[in-house]
Amino acid sequence: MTFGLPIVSVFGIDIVSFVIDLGIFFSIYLIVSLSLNLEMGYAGVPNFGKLLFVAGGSSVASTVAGRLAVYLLHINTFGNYSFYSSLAMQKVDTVLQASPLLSIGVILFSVGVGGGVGGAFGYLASFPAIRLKEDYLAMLLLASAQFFTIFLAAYPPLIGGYQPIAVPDPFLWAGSGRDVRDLLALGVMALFALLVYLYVERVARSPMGRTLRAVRDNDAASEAVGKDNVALRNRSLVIASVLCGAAGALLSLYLATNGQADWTVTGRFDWTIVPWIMVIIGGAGNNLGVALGTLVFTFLIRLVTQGELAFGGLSLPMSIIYKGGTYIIQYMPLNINRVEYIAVGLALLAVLYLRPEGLMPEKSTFTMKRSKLLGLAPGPPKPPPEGGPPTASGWVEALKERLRRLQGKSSRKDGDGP
Amino acid sequence: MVSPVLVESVIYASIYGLMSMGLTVTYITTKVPNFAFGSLVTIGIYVAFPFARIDGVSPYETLPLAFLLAGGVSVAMYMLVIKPLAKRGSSTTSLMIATLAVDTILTGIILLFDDYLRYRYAIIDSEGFAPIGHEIQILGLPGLFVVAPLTLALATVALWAMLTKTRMGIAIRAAVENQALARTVGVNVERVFLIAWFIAGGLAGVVGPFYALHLGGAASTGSLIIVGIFAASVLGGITSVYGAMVGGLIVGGSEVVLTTVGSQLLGSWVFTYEPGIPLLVMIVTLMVLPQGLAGVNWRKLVAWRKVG
Repeated sequence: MTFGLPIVSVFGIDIVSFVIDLGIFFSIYLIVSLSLNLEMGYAGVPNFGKLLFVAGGSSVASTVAGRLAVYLLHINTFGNYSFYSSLAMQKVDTVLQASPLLSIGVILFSVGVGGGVGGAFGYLASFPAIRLKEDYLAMLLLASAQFFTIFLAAYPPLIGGYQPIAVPDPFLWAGSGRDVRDLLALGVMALFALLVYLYVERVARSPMGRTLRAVRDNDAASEAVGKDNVALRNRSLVIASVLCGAAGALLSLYLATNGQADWTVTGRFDWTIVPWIMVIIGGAGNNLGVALGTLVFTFLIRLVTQGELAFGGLSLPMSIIYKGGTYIIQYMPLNINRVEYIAVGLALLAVLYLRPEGLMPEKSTFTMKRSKLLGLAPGPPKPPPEGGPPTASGWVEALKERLRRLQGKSSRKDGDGP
Repeated sequence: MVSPVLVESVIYASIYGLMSMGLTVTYITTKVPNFAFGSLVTIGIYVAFPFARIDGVSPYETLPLAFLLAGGVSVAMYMLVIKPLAKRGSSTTSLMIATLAVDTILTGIILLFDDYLRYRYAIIDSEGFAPIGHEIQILGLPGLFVVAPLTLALATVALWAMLTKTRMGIAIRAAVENQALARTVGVNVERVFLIAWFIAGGLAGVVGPFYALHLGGAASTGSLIIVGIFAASVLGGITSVYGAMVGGLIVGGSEVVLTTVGSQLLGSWVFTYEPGIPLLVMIVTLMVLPQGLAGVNWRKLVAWRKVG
């Protein structure tokens, strides 16, 4: 028996499919934009080469997973993996379909490889880049990403050069019903996105997060108190790159195919500019804000894509011909992607000008729970027992006593917090 | 007979020299790398392309129009985006992402224009085309072999003359050195920067017809060559206009020479990785000479040689 999801159609768009697709892209974009927030929002590393890490993780993970499967299952690819990958993957997929455990293994393996490759790229990039001023760093990372996409197209063994390769599909065991495979994919992606969210939020609230902010805001001061700025920036770049690489691997698993066109033609837009606008709209330095920005923006982008499929495209007046006493307006089909480019660029400029801090601005650092902080804070300084003027040492004594009491777990009924 | 490698490298070097000089002029004024600069070249390309394809006009004749249009777009970008954001106190990162946003907008507009050419005039290769014809021959050599270096020389001399001999040029230099002080002595810094951005955009625009003539073009050309332009500019020390010119010559020339030598040694696959050379130049420069060529104390180097 096959179980399938119903079709609910609104304005010609299948809502169930749309929501699942939206959820998957939201999860993947959330990982990328949270990683960008970690390096740009918290550490102040302007990574203009997000594409490099996403594409790197995605391409290597998809080809390594596919080749390993082919090797383990003894499938003959006639010495030309790139060319026969879609045939080979049909056999691989039948095996994966029957084995949930193996499928989960493929997911974990791909994500691991993607993360590893992303991290390795981040580590390599940190060598020349991280000591540089932000503008040099941005240029170098953008240039590296650009070169990597050229490499992808030029080097067929990786993802097939100009012919896309197929990627093992580890979601097929969910069933063959309508949208069921995508529903499982959504569950897996959402799980990873949630883990990443919890991780970056933990980093943000940890001493590491506060140190990164210090490095970002005042690099001389943080160096003066003994922080190794270069090492901290390096670390944030590498961690963010690991996350990006893993997101890239998840993307290729969902699409079940990987080709250079996704990276060369629209790569910089999709994986550098869009994550940047998500972070800036949401609020750099605020993970919840970034999640909100990602949701808003993913929704708009997927709506454009699905809307175009549903409506079949719009047209634009092209020229006017005077013929037989009347004017005839000629139309040309409007490619919505061009409009998307212009609209996204304008939106980014508008946010930068009108609300550079984003929808949810960065909050001051979290150290302890607010209730705890209020309990700790001393009230107005009490006059010393001798009746002398209030002194700084009196304040410190009051604080120390309070701390002692807290540690002794005594009741604080007599607490006189403000 | 002049070797084709020499012809190619001279053309490449001159093109890169013009572009990196333009980029550096925008960088020294606002201290922000202009990620939209490549798209200004693409605008120049798409000024030349329809005229050549539809009306059979030589790209050389469209040079002034390309100069004016790209310069105008550059000025508009400065007026509408960079200046308001800088006034608002935006960080370098914000300004950089703003230039990237402008690049995205320009790419979208150029792609729309490509669609228009395709549907209106049935030009199927409008989104990416091979070198357009109309090349003139000078002494049996491609005209660009003479015209491109000549343009570069003219631009350099004109820029030098303007920056050192005219009041406007001195005002530009003053505003670049110390904005606040220049304002105090009555220099209209905004107007001065506007002119600098116009010249920079114009230099990018001029490269467009050359590019279309010799290398063809595509809507994505700008986003590809920006890597080479940055590399040349960084090699030149990013704050020196003449350094950028020399950096452009080196990057452009080495791209041709290294790929030719490499392909003879290793095989023709080397040509595919040609765009990697500027990236390599950039990485090596940043690791070895972070201040670029302009940061090297040449006089000391020469003196050391003499002592040695």
